Amino acid sequence: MANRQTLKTHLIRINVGAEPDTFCQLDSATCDQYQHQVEGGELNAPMLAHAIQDVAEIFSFANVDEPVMQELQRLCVLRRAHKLKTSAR
Amino acid sequence: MKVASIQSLLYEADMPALPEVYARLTAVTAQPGSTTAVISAVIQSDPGLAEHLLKLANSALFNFPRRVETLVDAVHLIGAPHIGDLALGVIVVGMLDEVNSDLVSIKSFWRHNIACGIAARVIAILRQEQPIERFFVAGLLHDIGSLMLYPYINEGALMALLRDRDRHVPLYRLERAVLGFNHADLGAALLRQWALPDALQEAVAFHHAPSHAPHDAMLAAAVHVADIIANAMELGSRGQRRVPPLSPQAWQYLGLSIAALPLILAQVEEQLESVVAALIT
Repeated sequence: MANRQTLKTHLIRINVGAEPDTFCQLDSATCDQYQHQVEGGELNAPMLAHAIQDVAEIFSFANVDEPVMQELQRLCVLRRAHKLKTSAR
Repeated sequence: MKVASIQSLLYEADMPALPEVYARLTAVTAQPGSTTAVISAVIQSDPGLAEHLLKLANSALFNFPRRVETLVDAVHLIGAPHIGDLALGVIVVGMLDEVNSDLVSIKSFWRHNIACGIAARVIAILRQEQPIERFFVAGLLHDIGSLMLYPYINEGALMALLRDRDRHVPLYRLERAVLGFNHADLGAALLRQWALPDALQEAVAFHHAPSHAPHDAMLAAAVHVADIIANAMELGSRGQRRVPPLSPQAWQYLGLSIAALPLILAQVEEQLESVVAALIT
Protein backbone atom coordinates (compact mmCIF):
# COMPACT_ATOMS: atom_id res chain seq x y z
CA MET A 1 0.00 0.00 0.00
CA ALA A 2 1.71 3.14 -1.20
CA ASN A 3 -0.02 5.79 0.87
CA ARG A 4 -2.78 6.44 3.34
CA GLN A 5 -5.31 7.16 0.62
CA THR A 6 -4.73 3.63 -0.63
CA LEU A 7 -5.39 2.27 2.84
CA LYS A 8 -8.59 4.28 3.18
CA THR A 9 -9.76 3.23 -0.28
CA HIS A 10 -8.95 -0.35 0.58
CA LEU A 11 -10.91 -0.17 3.84
CA ILE A 12 -13.90 1.34 2.05
CA ARG A 13 -13.73 -1.40 -0.57
CA ILE A 14 -13.58 -4.30 1.91
CA ASN A 15 -16.23 -2.53 4.05
CA VAL A 16 -17.08 -5.54 6.37
CA GLY A 17 -20.59 -4.22 6.93
CA ALA A 18 -19.56 -0.87 8.40
CA GLU A 19 -21.72 2.22 8.25
CA PRO A 20 -20.98 3.85 4.86
CA ASP A 21 -19.07 6.78 6.35
CA THR A 22 -17.10 4.91 9.03
CA PHE A 23 -13.97 4.74 6.92
CA CYS A 24 -14.54 7.96 4.96
CA GLN A 25 -14.37 9.89 8.24
CA LEU A 26 -10.86 8.72 9.07
CA ASP A 27 -8.57 11.72 9.21
CA SER A 28 -5.13 11.81 7.58
CA ALA A 29 -3.06 11.58 10.76
CA THR A 30 -5.02 8.57 12.03
CA CYS A 31 -4.75 6.88 8.64
CA ASP A 32 -1.00 7.43 8.69
CA GLN A 33 -0.74 5.74 12.08
CA TYR A 34 -2.85 2.76 10.97
CA GLN A 35 -0.88 2.57 7.73
CA HIS A 36 2.32 2.30 9.74
CA GLN A 37 1.00 -0.79 11.52
CA VAL A 38 -0.19 -2.41 8.31
CA GLU A 39 3.05 -1.75 6.46
CA GLY A 40 5.05 -3.07 9.39
CA GLY A 41 3.12 -6.33 9.09
CA GLU A 42 1.74 -6.00 12.62
CA LEU A 43 -1.84 -5.83 11.36
CA ASN A 44 -3.70 -6.59 8.19
CA ALA A 45 -6.29 -4.36 6.60
CA PRO A 46 -9.37 -6.58 7.13
CA MET A 47 -8.62 -6.93 10.86
CA LEU A 48 -8.09 -3.21 11.08
CA ALA A 49 -11.38 -2.63 9.26
CA HIS A 50 -13.24 -4.83 11.76
CA ALA A 51 -11.61 -3.04 14.68
CA ILE A 52 -12.42 0.42 13.28
CA GLN A 53 -16.04 -0.59 12.79
CA ASP A 54 -16.46 -2.13 16.27
CA VAL A 55 -14.81 0.76 18.07
CA ALA A 56 -16.78 3.35 16.07
CA GLU A 57 -19.97 1.76 17.42
CA ILE A 58 -18.70 1.82 21.01
CA PHE A 59 -17.80 5.49 20.57
CA SER A 60 -21.16 6.41 19.03
CA PHE A 61 -22.17 8.60 22.04
CA ALA A 62 -18.72 10.09 22.48
CA ASN A 63 -17.71 13.55 21.33
CA VAL A 64 -14.99 12.33 18.97
CA ASP A 65 -14.32 15.85 17.74
CA GLU A 66 -12.31 16.33 20.95
CA PRO A 67 -8.60 15.56 20.30
CA VAL A 68 -8.31 13.43 23.47
CA MET A 69 -11.26 11.28 22.37
CA GLN A 70 -9.78 10.89 18.88
CA GLU A 71 -6.57 9.62 20.43
CA LEU A 72 -8.46 7.32 22.81
CA GLN A 73 -10.45 5.92 19.89
CA ARG A 74 -7.26 5.37 17.87
CA LEU A 75 -5.61 3.53 20.77
CA CYS A 76 -8.72 1.37 21.22
CA VAL A 77 -8.79 0.49 17.51
CA LEU A 78 -5.16 -0.69 17.66
CA ARG A 79 -5.81 -2.56 20.93
CA ARG A 80 -8.83 -4.34 19.44
CA ALA A 81 -7.08 -5.10 16.15
CA HIS A 82 -4.17 -6.68 18.02
CA LYS A 83 -6.61 -8.73 20.10
CA LEU A 84 -8.32 -9.91 16.91
CA LYS A 85 -4.94 -10.92 15.55
CA THR A 86 -4.06 -12.82 18.74
CA SER A 87 -7.38 -14.64 18.83
CA ALA A 88 -7.07 -15.55 15.13
CA ARG A 89 -3.80 -17.42 15.73
CA MET B 1 -43.21 -0.97 39.75
CA LYS B 2 -43.44 2.77 40.37
CA VAL B 3 -40.44 4.77 41.50
CA ALA B 4 -41.39 7.91 43.40
CA SER B 5 -38.11 9.35 44.55
CA ILE B 6 -34.49 8.64 45.40
CA GLN B 7 -35.42 8.27 49.06
CA SER B 8 -38.24 5.79 48.42
CA LEU B 9 -36.02 3.72 46.12
CA LEU B 10 -33.25 3.76 48.69
CA TYR B 11 -35.76 2.58 51.30
CA GLU B 12 -37.11 -0.18 49.00
CA ALA B 13 -33.63 -1.36 48.05
CA ASP B 14 -32.85 -1.87 51.75
CA MET B 15 -29.10 -1.82 51.23
CA PRO B 16 -27.01 -3.30 54.04
CA ALA B 17 -25.24 -1.01 56.50
CA LEU B 18 -21.45 -0.87 56.50
CA PRO B 19 -20.04 -3.32 59.05
CA GLU B 20 -18.90 -2.05 62.41
CA VAL B 21 -15.26 -2.89 61.61
CA TYR B 22 -15.19 -0.01 59.09
CA ALA B 23 -16.20 2.55 61.73
CA ARG B 24 -13.56 1.20 64.12
CA LEU B 25 -10.95 1.27 61.37
CA THR B 26 -11.65 4.88 60.36
CA ALA B 27 -11.58 5.89 64.05
CA VAL B 28 -8.26 4.20 64.72
CA THR B 29 -6.57 5.46 61.52
CA ALA B 30 -7.71 9.01 62.35
CA GLN B 31 -5.82 8.90 65.65
CA PRO B 32 -2.29 10.25 65.07
CA GLY B 33 -0.60 7.83 67.46
CA SER B 34 -2.13 4.60 66.12
CA THR B 35 0.51 1.97 65.39
CA THR B 36 0.37 -0.44 62.46
CA ALA B 37 -0.10 -3.23 65.00
CA VAL B 38 -3.21 -1.59 66.44
CA ILE B 39 -4.64 -0.88 62.97
CA SER B 40 -3.86 -4.45 61.88
CA ALA B 41 -5.61 -5.84 64.95
CA VAL B 42 -8.79 -4.00 64.03
CA ILE B 43 -8.64 -5.34 60.47
CA GLN B 44 -7.84 -8.83 61.71
CA SER B 45 -11.12 -8.87 63.65
CA ASP B 46 -12.75 -9.39 60.22
CA PRO B 47 -10.82 -12.30 58.65
CA GLY B 48 -12.41 -11.80 55.24
CA LEU B 49 -11.39 -8.16 55.14
CA ALA B 50 -7.87 -9.06 56.30
CA GLU B 51 -7.52 -11.72 53.61
CA HIS B 52 -8.69 -9.45 50.80
CA LEU B 53 -6.52 -6.53 51.93
CA LEU B 54 -3.48 -8.79 51.99
CA LYS B 55 -4.33 -10.02 48.48
CA LEU B 56 -4.70 -6.43 47.34
CA ALA B 57 -1.33 -5.54 48.85
CA ASN B 58 0.17 -8.35 46.76
CA SER B 59 -1.62 -7.31 43.58
CA ALA B 60 -0.25 -5.31 40.64
CA LEU B 61 -2.00 -2.25 42.09
CA PHE B 62 1.06 -1.78 44.32
CA ASN B 63 3.61 -3.97 42.59
CA PHE B 64 5.77 -4.18 45.70
CA PRO B 65 9.18 -5.73 44.93
CA ARG B 66 8.69 -8.60 47.38
CA ARG B 67 5.73 -10.60 48.61
CA VAL B 68 3.81 -8.98 51.47
CA GLU B 69 3.52 -11.79 54.02
CA THR B 70 1.60 -10.23 56.90
CA LEU B 71 -1.16 -7.73 57.44
CA VAL B 72 1.16 -5.61 59.62
CA ASP B 73 3.55 -5.41 56.65
CA ALA B 74 0.65 -4.49 54.35
CA VAL B 75 -0.52 -1.66 56.63
CA HIS B 76 3.05 -0.44 57.01
CA LEU B 77 3.77 -0.46 53.26
CA ILE B 78 0.43 0.98 52.11
CA GLY B 79 0.26 3.50 54.95
CA ALA B 80 -2.31 4.08 57.68
CA PRO B 81 -3.96 7.08 55.95
CA HIS B 82 -4.76 4.93 52.89
CA ILE B 83 -5.83 1.64 54.44
CA GLY B 84 -9.32 2.92 55.35
CA ASP B 85 -10.15 3.79 51.74
CA LEU B 86 -8.93 0.40 50.51
CA ALA B 87 -10.87 -1.38 53.26
CA LEU B 88 -14.01 0.49 52.19
CA GLY B 89 -13.59 -0.82 48.64
CA VAL B 90 -13.02 -4.39 49.84
CA ILE B 91 -16.06 -4.24 52.16
CA VAL B 92 -18.47 -2.85 49.56
CA VAL B 93 -17.41 -5.27 46.79
CA GLY B 94 -17.85 -8.14 49.27
CA MET B 95 -21.25 -6.93 50.50
CA LEU B 96 -22.80 -6.29 47.10
CA ASP B 97 -22.14 -9.57 45.33
CA GLU B 98 -25.43 -10.02 43.51
CA VAL B 99 -27.23 -8.10 40.82
CA ASN B 100 -30.82 -8.30 39.66
CA SER B 101 -30.35 -7.32 36.05
CA ASP B 102 -31.00 -8.45 32.51
CA LEU B 103 -28.29 -6.06 31.36
CA VAL B 104 -25.19 -7.12 33.23
CA SER B 105 -23.60 -9.75 35.49
CA ILE B 106 -22.15 -8.81 38.87
CA LYS B 107 -18.70 -9.82 37.67
CA SER B 108 -18.92 -7.54 34.64
CA PHE B 109 -20.29 -4.74 36.82
CA TRP B 110 -17.39 -4.90 39.31
CA ARG B 111 -14.84 -5.43 36.55
CA HIS B 112 -15.91 -2.13 35.00
CA ASN B 113 -15.80 -0.35 38.35
CA ILE B 114 -12.41 -1.82 39.28
CA ALA B 115 -10.99 -0.74 35.89
CA CYS B 116 -12.36 2.75 36.55
CA GLY B 117 -10.77 2.76 40.02
CA ILE B 118 -7.38 1.76 38.63
CA ALA B 119 -7.55 4.42 35.89
CA ALA B 120 -8.56 7.11 38.43
CA ARG B 121 -5.66 6.05 40.66
CA VAL B 122 -3.17 6.25 37.75
CA ILE B 123 -4.48 9.74 36.96
CA ALA B 124 -3.93 10.70 40.63
CA ILE B 125 -0.36 9.35 40.47
CA LEU B 126 0.36 11.33 37.30
CA ARG B 127 -1.00 14.47 38.96
CA GLN B 128 0.67 13.68 42.30
CA GLU B 129 -2.69 13.96 44.06
CA GLN B 130 -3.40 12.75 47.59
CA PRO B 131 -4.93 10.75 49.17
CA ILE B 132 -4.28 8.40 46.31
CA GLU B 133 -6.50 5.49 47.39
CA ARG B 134 -9.44 7.90 47.62
CA PHE B 135 -9.25 8.05 43.81
CA PHE B 136 -9.24 4.25 43.58
CA VAL B 137 -12.26 3.81 45.85
CA ALA B 138 -14.16 6.68 44.16
CA GLY B 139 -13.75 4.89 40.82
CA LEU B 140 -14.67 1.57 42.43
CA LEU B 141 -17.95 2.97 43.80
CA HIS B 142 -18.91 5.33 40.99
CA ASP B 143 -21.71 3.18 39.54
CA ILE B 144 -22.96 1.70 42.80
CA GLY B 145 -26.36 3.36 42.35
CA SER B 146 -26.97 1.12 39.33
CA LEU B 147 -27.25 -1.91 41.62
CA MET B 148 -30.39 -0.38 43.15
CA LEU B 149 -31.75 0.78 39.81
CA TYR B 150 -31.43 -2.44 37.79
CA PRO B 151 -34.66 -4.05 39.09
CA TYR B 152 -36.59 -0.97 37.94
CA ILE B 153 -34.82 -0.97 34.59
CA ASN B 154 -35.76 -4.63 34.14
CA GLU B 155 -39.45 -4.10 34.81
CA GLY B 156 -40.18 -0.59 33.73
CA ALA B 157 -40.36 1.57 30.67
CA LEU B 158 -36.61 2.13 30.81
CA MET B 159 -35.79 -1.27 29.34
CA ALA B 160 -38.12 -0.70 26.39
CA LEU B 161 -36.60 2.72 25.81
CA LEU B 162 -33.13 1.32 26.17
CA ARG B 163 -33.75 -1.40 23.60
CA ASP B 164 -35.29 1.09 21.24
CA ARG B 165 -32.76 3.87 21.65
CA ASP B 166 -29.59 2.04 22.58
CA ARG B 167 -27.85 3.51 19.59
CA HIS B 168 -28.81 7.07 20.37
CA VAL B 169 -29.09 7.91 24.08
CA PRO B 170 -26.75 7.16 26.99
CA LEU B 171 -28.45 5.13 29.75
CA TYR B 172 -27.77 7.77 32.43
CA ARG B 173 -29.75 10.31 30.38
CA LEU B 174 -32.60 7.84 29.87
CA GLU B 175 -32.69 7.21 33.61
CA ARG B 176 -33.03 10.91 34.34
CA ALA B 177 -35.61 11.42 31.59
CA VAL B 178 -37.82 8.60 32.89
CA LEU B 179 -37.22 8.74 36.66
CA GLY B 180 -36.11 12.32 37.26
CA PHE B 181 -32.79 11.09 38.69
CA ASN B 182 -30.09 8.67 37.64
CA HIS B 183 -27.73 6.05 39.06
CA ALA B 184 -25.20 8.75 40.00
CA ASP B 185 -27.74 10.56 42.22
CA LEU B 186 -28.81 7.28 43.75
CA GLY B 187 -25.24 6.15 44.42
CA ALA B 188 -24.42 9.44 46.11
CA ALA B 189 -27.54 9.09 48.28
CA LEU B 190 -26.37 5.63 49.39
CA LEU B 191 -22.92 6.98 50.26
CA ARG B 192 -24.61 9.75 52.24
CA GLN B 193 -26.67 7.13 54.08
CA TRP B 194 -23.41 5.34 54.90
CA ALA B 195 -21.95 8.65 56.17
CA LEU B 196 -18.98 8.40 53.79
CA PRO B 197 -16.84 11.49 53.09
CA ASP B 198 -18.38 14.36 51.11
CA ALA B 199 -15.66 14.13 48.44
CA LEU B 200 -16.65 10.53 47.66
CA GLN B 201 -20.35 11.43 47.54
CA GLU B 202 -19.55 14.24 45.09
CA ALA B 203 -17.35 12.12 42.85
CA VAL B 204 -20.15 9.55 42.54
CA ALA B 205 -22.89 12.17 42.11
CA PHE B 206 -21.05 14.13 39.41
CA HIS B 207 -19.12 11.49 37.50
CA HIS B 208 -21.19 12.29 34.38
CA ALA B 209 -21.14 16.07 35.03
CA PRO B 210 -17.85 16.74 36.84
CA SER B 211 -17.84 20.49 36.22
CA HIS B 212 -20.89 20.73 38.52
CA ALA B 213 -19.05 19.25 41.52
CA PRO B 214 -19.18 22.05 44.08
CA HIS B 215 -16.19 21.16 46.30
CA ASP B 216 -13.82 18.52 44.92
CA ALA B 217 -13.85 18.90 41.16
CA MET B 218 -10.51 17.07 40.86
CA LEU B 219 -11.83 13.78 42.21
CA ALA B 220 -15.01 14.02 40.11
CA ALA B 221 -12.99 14.89 36.98
CA ALA B 222 -10.60 11.97 37.52
CA VAL B 223 -13.49 9.50 37.93
CA HIS B 224 -15.25 10.97 34.89
CA VAL B 225 -12.23 10.46 32.64
CA ALA B 226 -11.45 7.07 34.21
CA ASP B 227 -15.03 5.90 33.51
CA ILE B 228 -14.63 6.91 29.86
CA ILE B 229 -11.35 5.00 29.63
CA ALA B 230 -12.81 1.86 31.27
CA ASN B 231 -15.76 1.94 28.86
CA ALA B 232 -13.51 2.56 25.86
CA MET B 233 -11.36 -0.43 26.80
CA GLU B 234 -14.54 -2.56 27.14
CA LEU B 235 -13.46 -3.83 30.54
CA GLY B 236 -16.75 -4.94 32.05
CA SER B 237 -19.89 -2.86 31.83
CA ARG B 238 -22.73 -1.37 33.83
CA GLY B 239 -25.17 -2.38 31.13
CA GLN B 240 -24.63 -0.23 28.08
CA ARG B 241 -21.48 -0.83 26.10
CA ARG B 242 -20.91 2.71 24.93
CA VAL B 243 -18.36 5.37 25.81
CA PRO B 244 -20.13 8.31 27.47
CA PRO B 245 -19.44 11.86 26.27
CA LEU B 246 -16.33 13.56 27.65
CA SER B 247 -16.54 16.83 29.54
CA PRO B 248 -13.78 18.87 27.84
CA GLN B 249 -13.64 21.09 30.97
CA ALA B 250 -12.88 18.01 33.10
CA TRP B 251 -10.02 16.96 30.83
CA GLN B 252 -8.67 20.49 30.86
CA TYR B 253 -8.99 20.65 34.65
CA LEU B 254 -6.91 17.48 35.03
CA GLY B 255 -4.15 19.19 33.04
CA LEU B 256 -2.89 15.93 31.55
CA SER B 257 -1.23 15.65 28.17
CA ILE B 258 -2.89 13.49 25.52
CA ALA B 259 0.44 11.64 25.48
CA ALA B 260 -0.47 10.28 28.95
CA LEU B 261 -3.30 8.18 27.51
CA PRO B 262 -1.20 5.18 26.34
CA LEU B 263 0.40 4.98 29.80
CA ILE B 264 -2.98 5.03 31.57
CA LEU B 265 -4.37 2.32 29.27
CA ALA B 266 -1.26 0.18 29.72
CA GLN B 267 -1.43 0.47 33.51
CA VAL B 268 -5.10 -0.47 33.61
CA GLU B 269 -4.41 -3.46 31.36
CA GLU B 270 -1.46 -4.54 33.50
CA GLN B 271 -3.17 -4.24 36.88
CA LEU B 272 -6.77 -5.25 36.22
CA GLU B 273 -6.71 -9.05 36.46
CA SER B 274 -4.77 -9.21 39.71
CA VAL B 275 -6.95 -6.55 41.35
CA VAL B 276 -10.11 -8.36 40.19
CA ALA B 277 -8.69 -11.59 41.64
CA ALA B 278 -7.92 -9.84 44.94
CA LEU B 279 -11.37 -8.27 45.32
CA ILE B 280 -13.75 -10.82 43.80
CA THR B 281 -13.75 -14.37 45.07
